[in-house]
Amino acid sequence: MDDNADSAPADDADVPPVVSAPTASTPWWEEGVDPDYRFSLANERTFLAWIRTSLAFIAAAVALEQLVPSFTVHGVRTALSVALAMFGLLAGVGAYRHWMRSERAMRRGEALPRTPLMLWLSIGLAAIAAVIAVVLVVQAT
Amino acid sequence: MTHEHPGAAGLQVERTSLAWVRTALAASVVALIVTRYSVVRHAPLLTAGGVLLLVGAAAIGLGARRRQTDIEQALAAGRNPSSRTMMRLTSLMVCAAGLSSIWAIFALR
Repeated sequence: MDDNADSAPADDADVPPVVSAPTASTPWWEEGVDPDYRFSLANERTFLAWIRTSLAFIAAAVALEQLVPSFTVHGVRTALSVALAMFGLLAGVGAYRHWMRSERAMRRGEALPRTPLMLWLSIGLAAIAAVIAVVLVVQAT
Repeated sequence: MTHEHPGAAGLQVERTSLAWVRTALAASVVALIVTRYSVVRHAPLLTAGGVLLLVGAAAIGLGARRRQTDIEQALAAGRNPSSRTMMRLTSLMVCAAGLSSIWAIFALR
């Protein structure tokens, strides 16, 4: 989960927790049972790491637009900046979504959800790097 | 809550609090970059957005302290310390920053 994950929580449930059957009207934060607080806090720190990733993308977008001289290929810089900012937006939305789904899975005693976000962002970053490489080669020739 | 190691809860809370502080710092950096960008490009609307983000970053910084006491109180009372409000506000803030920067990149091209 996060850095320095502690050992598994002491299982102090002598009786199996009564899991109320979730109805359509039960909000997710009232489903199941409260997870171990250490897992909740680790989930919170993971959320914050995603938020910082989002902020870094936004900073990169603005910095690229502001600091890098325009490429000879017209519009490329703007396209890359917008792509970076959109990744920032995606990470910001994904941060909450992933936190919520993880918290809900822990409440229900299910496996933690997987997120496709990491794959998308990795592919996106690789694509951006490839575009920059191509542009630099085109500019040099 | 019982702990195998006394003080373990304190470290958990401390790590989480530091993560909030790091996030506040990152948000301040982005706010300053956006503000500088807006001043260079003479875009008062974006300056307002940058200042707003700076206020948000300060709020996260102050929220880090508040969150620490909230978590400690929740743990002392044996409650789960999760906070939907903090997550929603923080997530909304970065989404607003992302949307504004997309708009700004188009508008100030």
